[in-house]
Amino acid sequence: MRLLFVSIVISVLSPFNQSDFWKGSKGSIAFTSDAPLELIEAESNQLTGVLKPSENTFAFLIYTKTFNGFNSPLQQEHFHENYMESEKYPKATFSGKFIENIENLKEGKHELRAKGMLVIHGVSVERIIKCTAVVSKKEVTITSNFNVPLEDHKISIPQVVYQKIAEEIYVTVKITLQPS
Amino acid sequence: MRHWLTIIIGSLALTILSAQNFNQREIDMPQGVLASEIKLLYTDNQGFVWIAAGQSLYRHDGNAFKEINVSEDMAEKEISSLYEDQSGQYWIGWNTGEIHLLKNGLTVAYSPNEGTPAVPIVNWAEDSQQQLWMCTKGEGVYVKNNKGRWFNFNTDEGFPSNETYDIIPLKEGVAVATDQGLVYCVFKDGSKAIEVLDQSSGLSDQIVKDLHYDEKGVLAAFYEPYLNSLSSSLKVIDTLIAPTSDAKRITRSFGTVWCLSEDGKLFRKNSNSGWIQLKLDVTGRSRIQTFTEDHEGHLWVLGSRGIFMIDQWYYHFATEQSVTAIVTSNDAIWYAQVGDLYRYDIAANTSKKVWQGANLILSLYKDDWGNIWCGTFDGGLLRYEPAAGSMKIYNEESGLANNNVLSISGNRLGLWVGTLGGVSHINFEDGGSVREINSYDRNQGVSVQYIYSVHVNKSGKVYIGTDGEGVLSWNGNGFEPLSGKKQDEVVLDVSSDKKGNIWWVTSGGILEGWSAQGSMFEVPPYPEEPGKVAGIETLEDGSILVMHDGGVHRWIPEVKKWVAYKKSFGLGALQPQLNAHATNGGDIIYIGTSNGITSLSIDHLPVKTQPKTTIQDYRLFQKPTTRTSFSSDENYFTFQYVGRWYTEPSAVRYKLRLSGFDPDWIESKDTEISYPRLPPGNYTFEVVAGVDGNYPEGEIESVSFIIYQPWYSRWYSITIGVLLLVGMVFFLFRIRLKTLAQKQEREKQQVQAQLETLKSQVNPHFLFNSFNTLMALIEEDRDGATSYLSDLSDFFRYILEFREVDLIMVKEDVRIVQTYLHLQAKRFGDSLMANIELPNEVLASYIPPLTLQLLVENAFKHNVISKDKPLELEIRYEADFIVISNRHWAKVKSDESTGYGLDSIKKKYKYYNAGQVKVEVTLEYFTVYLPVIYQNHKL
Repeated sequence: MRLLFVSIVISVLSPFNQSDFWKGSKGSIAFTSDAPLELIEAESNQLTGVLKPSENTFAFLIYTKTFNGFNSPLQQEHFHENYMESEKYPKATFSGKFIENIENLKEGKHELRAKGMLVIHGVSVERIIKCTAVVSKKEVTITSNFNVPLEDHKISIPQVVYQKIAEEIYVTVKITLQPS
Repeated sequence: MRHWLTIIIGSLALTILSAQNFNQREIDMPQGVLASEIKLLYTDNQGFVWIAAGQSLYRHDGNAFKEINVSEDMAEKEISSLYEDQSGQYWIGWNTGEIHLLKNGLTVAYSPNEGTPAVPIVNWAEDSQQQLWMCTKGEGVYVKNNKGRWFNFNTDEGFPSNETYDIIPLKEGVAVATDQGLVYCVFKDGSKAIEVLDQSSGLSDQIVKDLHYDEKGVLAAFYEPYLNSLSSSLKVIDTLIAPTSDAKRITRSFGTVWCLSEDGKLFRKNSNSGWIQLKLDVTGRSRIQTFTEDHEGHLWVLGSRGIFMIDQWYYHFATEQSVTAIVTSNDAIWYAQVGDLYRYDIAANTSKKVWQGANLILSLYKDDWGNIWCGTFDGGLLRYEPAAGSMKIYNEESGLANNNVLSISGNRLGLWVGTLGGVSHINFEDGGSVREINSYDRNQGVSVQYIYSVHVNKSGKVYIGTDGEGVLSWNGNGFEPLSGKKQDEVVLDVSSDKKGNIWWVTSGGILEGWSAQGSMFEVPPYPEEPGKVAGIETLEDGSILVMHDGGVHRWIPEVKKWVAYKKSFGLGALQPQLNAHATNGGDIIYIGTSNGITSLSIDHLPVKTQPKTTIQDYRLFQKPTTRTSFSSDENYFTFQYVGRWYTEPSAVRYKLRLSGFDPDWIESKDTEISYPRLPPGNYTFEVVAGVDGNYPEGEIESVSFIIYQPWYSRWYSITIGVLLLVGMVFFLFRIRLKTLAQKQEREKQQVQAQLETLKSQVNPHFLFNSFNTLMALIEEDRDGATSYLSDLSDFFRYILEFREVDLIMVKEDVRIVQTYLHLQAKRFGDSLMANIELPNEVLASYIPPLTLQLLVENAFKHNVISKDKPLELEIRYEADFIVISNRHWAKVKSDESTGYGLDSIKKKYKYYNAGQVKVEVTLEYFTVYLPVIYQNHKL
């Protein structure tokens, strides 16, 4: 009886029980390549994401074409044509399950670990990515930053620009999701 | 020689009951730590034993526990696991999921990009690819690949549960115990493979509580009271009944399986024994939390009252009276107490009296048909048939040599029996019944009356140990000395090894041997005096155990060394009974003692009784350092070392030296040594721990370091110094040479000038003119002529006087000029107008001698001198210069000029560093400016 009461209280307290799906579409994602000779920064605010608390699952998606803010249009062109091959692999995704149970997350700040497959350049690599989730009544905001080693995703850098592109790209993400 | 009999009888006295089954020693706890706080016992690869209590970590260094500092505030948190990987890195897992590393004696937080678990880290393992695994309570298993990235295995990958209990490495991958089965995981090249085993795979239970892996395969313990033995590919081979349900830990070492239950009971099982509970106290109520095994074969057991070190090789089964004879069968040990025969069931760990007799039983033998033969004191030989429970008696009336039977040995064909009246040979029928008894005594076959020991070896040869004639062997008709030569020893026990060598021990405790090739072995004396000897036993590995009052000595013929197992092995008060010992044919020896049966697990007994040496700390000015090179003023070194010998820490001694400083080894009991004020040089500190004076060469630990010469005595400093010195000498030498050359030049000039002056003075024109003038004067003016001549001589005298002087006062030079002018005035009369006007301070200044005269003379030389064109000569002072000026009436054809005069003056002034001599020539005047030299620089 007490257990039932506790679980009722928890479900009342947890905003995550309002809906089965939480969605966000205007998430921002930015990356930085800090190479010895050149600092490249680009960003996009077209990151979309979905959480399904009942299953602990998540999925995030970004079309690589939406990145802008390069140092030059030529650089942007190289990014899409030579490295990301955006025509061939238009999407980068990260989907999987949280290690922590998110079903009954209370309002407040939580450190979570998202374990899933990170697909960039058509190559999927399993990752555990730390993120912070701030849960309020109406929404949840997830922020994270992590490194993407280019080698992992078979993105090869010509020797000529080797000094200009970092071997690891630093990515920051912020997305707010609402129940749908 | 009768006294041996007295000893036999005398040792039958009642002794106190001992409840102590295992030999155990309590370990001193770290100060302020309660046993109940300890959650973890761990032995690392080097054999150090660690404990964790709450957020504190301690390492046993062989003498005591030392605390390891935890770098961060981990209050309210607990260390839940500890692991040393193959590279020597220590991993500390916390119950809150944090991970720490041990660095320079401190724990430091480890924060991988992937984050750390939020649940307790239960255990660690390292697979064959050096990938580190950890299992958690709630998040499954994590693995770190060789690039340092972590991956997770949990229910998403098909784990039956995220609650794990243990993880062990296999040949490839790992096995994980979970509460929903056993999971086999492989992580290779970034891809995961798992396989779940449960009851359908043959496991006894799905809740797998603990795993053990060794060369024999895997052992799994469950919640249900079963154990599974699995192959290394996780196929179930065997199922055992566990001593308890809800197992907590399982391990196997040297064939002994140890099993701990969650409710704190620890059991062990040997290959042929049943489960025996290890009790830390008489009641067995002390709960056991966990245990670990050190490298010497001790089991460290954490009980509710403390940590105890248990000797795995030792087990004692207590009896009420002395055990006077002992023999083993497959499943039991038969032993005698006074006249009673007992059967001790090994599996059940219980003992039962099977026969009550009136005569002391002094020897036991089990024949191939399972009958137990008892040699009694004064009661002949008894044959006990276990199946029927009946006893048959053979005595002097049946043909036995004597009714006092001390020793029995034999084979399928028959028995040989040693008595106090000779030897008897009992022949068996095929079915084991007695066909006939032949006896040999002093009348026939054997020359000695008392036979203490009989031994029939594997090939059927018979040897007897006699009272006073050594060892005799059977030749088919009678007994003869081994070597063909009569010995006069009292032999208590005879045995033979696998190679057919005969070994025996004398009443004096001396071990002797006779090789199969027919020669005596040389066995050196014991390392120390043994107690009263009770017998010998030959072992599978060829070594020989000598049992005595103070323990056991082991002779290892291969290396010709004695190893002593005494007090620290739990054998300090062994008190074995004469010839009351037996082996199980394998690795266990049972010794009948005055208070029971002591069993020794030979495989567990360390062959090498030697500590493991570690240099713990290496300090400079009492501060730990890891450097190996030091400057000359860094010269105070301290070394802390320890020999871990948990068996007997107080017996550890050290042999050490600092080569480069003192080449001689010194022996010490201390675990620290300091070397203050070491001179520069190359050093190697070497230390090795030893026991009983044995310092194994191969175990020497060393640390090398260098103290550099101070900068001023290093080779390059010396080189630079020498070069500088050489350079300086060279430079000075050059300056000196230059000075000398200058001086020479100056002297040359001076000589030249003097010569020139002389030449000029003795210029024939001058003389001619002077003499002409003089001649005229002599006639006209005698007084004037006299004065002229006097002036002339004065002039030459001056020249001679000053030619070798460097500098003279201007007034003196003026006097010369005046004399000269005086002479010339006589000749030129009004045509010469000379005016000398110099202030007193200039007159007191200095000038190279004859300078003025030279210049004045030049004026005479180079000018037309007549009434129309008189020589107007002026010597005056003008702003630090002596000015010699004359009206310029140049001769059309000047007197021959060497041009030397003026040049020489310029050089002289330069030499004296007195300033520049200036010459000014205008249409009207010829003027020379001589700088005033105020000081006479004597060079």
